[in-house]
Amino acid sequence: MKLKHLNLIFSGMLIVLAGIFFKYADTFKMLPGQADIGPKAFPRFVSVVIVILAILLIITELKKNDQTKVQLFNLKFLIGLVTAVLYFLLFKKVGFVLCSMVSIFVMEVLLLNEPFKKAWPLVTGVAVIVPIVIYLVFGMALKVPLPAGLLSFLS
Amino acid sequence: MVFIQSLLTILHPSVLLVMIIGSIGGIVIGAMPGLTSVMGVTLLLPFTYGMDATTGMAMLLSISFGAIYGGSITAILIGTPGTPASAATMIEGRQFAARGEGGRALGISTVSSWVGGTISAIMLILIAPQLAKLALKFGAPEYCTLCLFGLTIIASISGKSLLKGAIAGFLGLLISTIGIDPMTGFSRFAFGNINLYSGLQTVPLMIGLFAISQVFVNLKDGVEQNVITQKVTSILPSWSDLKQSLPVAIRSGFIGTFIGIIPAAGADIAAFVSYDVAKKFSKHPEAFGTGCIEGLAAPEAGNNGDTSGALVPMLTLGVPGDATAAVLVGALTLHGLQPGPTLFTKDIVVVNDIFASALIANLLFLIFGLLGIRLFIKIIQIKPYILTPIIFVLCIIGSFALRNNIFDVGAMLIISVIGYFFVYLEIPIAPIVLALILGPMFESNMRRSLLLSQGSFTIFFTRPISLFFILLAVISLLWPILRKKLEKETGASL
Amino acid sequence: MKKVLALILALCMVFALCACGSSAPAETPAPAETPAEAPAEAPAEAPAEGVDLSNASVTIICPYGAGGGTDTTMRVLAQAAEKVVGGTYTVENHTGGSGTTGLYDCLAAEHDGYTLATASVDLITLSLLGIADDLTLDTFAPICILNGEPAAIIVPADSPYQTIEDFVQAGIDNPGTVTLANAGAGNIWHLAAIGVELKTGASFSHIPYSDGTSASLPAVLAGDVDAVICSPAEAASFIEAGDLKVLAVAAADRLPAYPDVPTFTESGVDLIIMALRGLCVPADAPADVVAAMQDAFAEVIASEECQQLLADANQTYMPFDAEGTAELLNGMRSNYEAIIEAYLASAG
Repeated sequence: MKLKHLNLIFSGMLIVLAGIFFKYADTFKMLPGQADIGPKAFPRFVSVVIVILAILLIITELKKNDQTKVQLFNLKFLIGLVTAVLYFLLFKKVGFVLCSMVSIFVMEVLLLNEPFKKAWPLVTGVAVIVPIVIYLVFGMALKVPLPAGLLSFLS
Repeated sequence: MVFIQSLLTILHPSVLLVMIIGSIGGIVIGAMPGLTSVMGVTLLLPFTYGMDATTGMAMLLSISFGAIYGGSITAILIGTPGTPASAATMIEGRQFAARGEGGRALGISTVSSWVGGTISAIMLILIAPQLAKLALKFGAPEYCTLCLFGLTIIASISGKSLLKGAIAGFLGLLISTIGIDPMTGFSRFAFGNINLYSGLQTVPLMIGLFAISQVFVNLKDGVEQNVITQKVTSILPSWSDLKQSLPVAIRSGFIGTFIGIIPAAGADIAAFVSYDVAKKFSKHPEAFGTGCIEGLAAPEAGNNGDTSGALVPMLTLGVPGDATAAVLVGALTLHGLQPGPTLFTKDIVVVNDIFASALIANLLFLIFGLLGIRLFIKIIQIKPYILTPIIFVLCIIGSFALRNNIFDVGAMLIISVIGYFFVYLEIPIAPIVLALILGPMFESNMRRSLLLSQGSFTIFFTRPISLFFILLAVISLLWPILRKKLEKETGASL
Repeated sequence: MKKVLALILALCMVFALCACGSSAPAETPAPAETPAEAPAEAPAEAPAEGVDLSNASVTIICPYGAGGGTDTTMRVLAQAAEKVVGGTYTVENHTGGSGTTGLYDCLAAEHDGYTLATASVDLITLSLLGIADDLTLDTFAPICILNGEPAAIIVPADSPYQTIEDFVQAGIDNPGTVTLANAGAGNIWHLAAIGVELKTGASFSHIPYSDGTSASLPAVLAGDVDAVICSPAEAASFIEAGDLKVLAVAAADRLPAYPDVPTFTESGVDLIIMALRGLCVPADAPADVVAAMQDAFAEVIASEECQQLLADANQTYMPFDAEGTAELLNGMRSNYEAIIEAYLASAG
């Protein structure tokens, strides 16, 4: 996608976002005595400025003759994104340790530049050990309870 | 003299050992993305129950000072601020690392942090009651105009494009209005989701925009496999580095202390303001953003300068100077001490103990920070395909640990995807963080001032300190033009 | 190999910190583990159905920030419980949402009776305010109340209003001009101020300081606002130093710490508003565990250790057991209904 188009789309989204915030401010409740600058004033002011800035961005982008293209997605990024989303969705049910093991392994493989045959002991070792260590440190030393999920039968 | 007595108390092995453990623990917590100084002292507060007041406070101080310093380690080496206070450090720090000068940057940052922290501690010890009087002069109008000045800093951290920096800043301001309106108590833009009642939290936002977006970029483009070897010749900064960084560090230490004295203004604001002032007074402002020493030293001295400054209103008025000081108030109360004017009369020994611990706590992170430089470097020399996924997991925990709330993790992920696009759009992230921090303070204090003045805006102009900040804000915005004019007229460079 | 060593070293340091922490409680002279010290009531270590709490691992969720008044009370309760009953009590701060986040998190956890939350007037006001309909005394079973702090109107020492009558009169004569700081809109102190207005016909200009009472005190000291409404405990240091003066307290009787300060009732304003702090548990937790908790804490709040810890923290001792708590909170309902109705009606 051309960088120029990316910027234009972004500006458009900014205007839409600002519009939503501006309109939604209508629902705000106010307390007596706060009439002059109430809860609506600041968000609305900021929304208006954002719209102005977005229009400025559109103008400057259109003026430029920049034809650089940029590749936004590729398979690796998408796999990584899906991993992250699944991590979040399954975090509580499956638990921190298992989610982390899988995610670390997947990401390591995606980033790997050495042949897998050579590197797999390290890759697997890290993926298995690090989540366990983190879980113990946070749970015991820092008292931040990470969800045990499927492994809760162990505790 | 009571202070010497306290110094001896603190240097006693039992206290010192606890402080050493606290300092190291604090540095580690600060370094981990998402774990903040506040969280560090909150999590470790229960450990202090069995200790007496002096030891407990000494430990908490060494944890918090260490944590504020520790954030710079990840900011420099990995490009993710370990705590919001290091967001400004990251701007220059990551450039040093990219050049293979991570060790040098760590040395400068450690020494600058120590300078800032010690200046702050000395001011605390010498003139705490006088400084408290200054804190009392800060009312709602002063806060509002201080934030106004703070927001003008966005111009100096916008990087190449002022327009994009402004967009980032106002986007941050818009997001900062999400949550319960501090003045009416009713929710704004929460769309019914109770997790949004407190607004978007700074820490997950920061982690998402800085760290995870970078992880996604790395996944897509592959990460530089030839790890940039960081050369570490000696852990102490070179004499020329010191010459360049010390004046800036000293000035930023004072700035940080004064911002710390102002209740509710914390280390993050101190860091940004110090960075901005350093840039404005620097002989080479164009070097800022490319990895310059002054830009590295200033925020680090500023954020540690805030630490003891925040203790001033906490001890003298019972009003915390920042979020960490708020936890310290609780620690004092649990030990039967009442912060406020009576503390200096009834418990002067404990007060002096706290003074002494502040000095020592600063020394401790200096020692361990410098000693640890080679260790820290080794950690980031771990192969990127191993380090990046581990950072990913740590960031997830960092977002979760804040409120034990999975929503923050989800928010962080969504924001990180947006951050990914921002990388391509060249939207700078630091202005978003700054605006998110300053926005609520600005808005609520403006409205509070108007309530106090029955709707009249003149209140901002009739109060001297408030007027001062308005002038600062104007000067700050017009600085580039003003500077050129002054240079032309005086014929010399400023 | 060096990298592994480095990592292990770092981890050892963190574990050392943990170890230091677990040894710390052992430094305290252990006073009350021996049953001989327990007050001469039915020993609560063997409550009904034999639920033994002496080794229990209990979590207390505090909906307010570390260092604040509520958090302090929770930590006092945790420390006292460990000494009197045994077991481990951890306080977690889940802040936000005007106190709803913490309570919802307690409901989201397992209802096994070992995750407790803070009981306060929030259990009444949150539903009346329309913020959270399901956080009430129906969803939470009360365990105890330890601390109650009454609202008070506090002025700078050199204020033109030296008595509560003067202050209220000013609010009647010049409606909307006398400024009264509170700890946040919709907060209990703000509601108390509205209560004063309802009972007297005065009308003040309410200035919210959402960071809490301590953020408003400099404004009072500097004279930016005419007065603040909060608990005397929050301003204790200044009152003691003579910088601030308490005009009246909204309690049933005069406070022992401030015997010269009249109550609102004495001055003709029939108002009792107190911030209460205690513990509660999800109502549908197993009944035997709930009963055990209630009995255990009844003993905890009566204990010497607890009273001493509370006194050290400068908080007012106002103990109520489970039944008493339910009675107390339900009794306050009608007062709050009237106040909140007026408050919501005024919101545009």
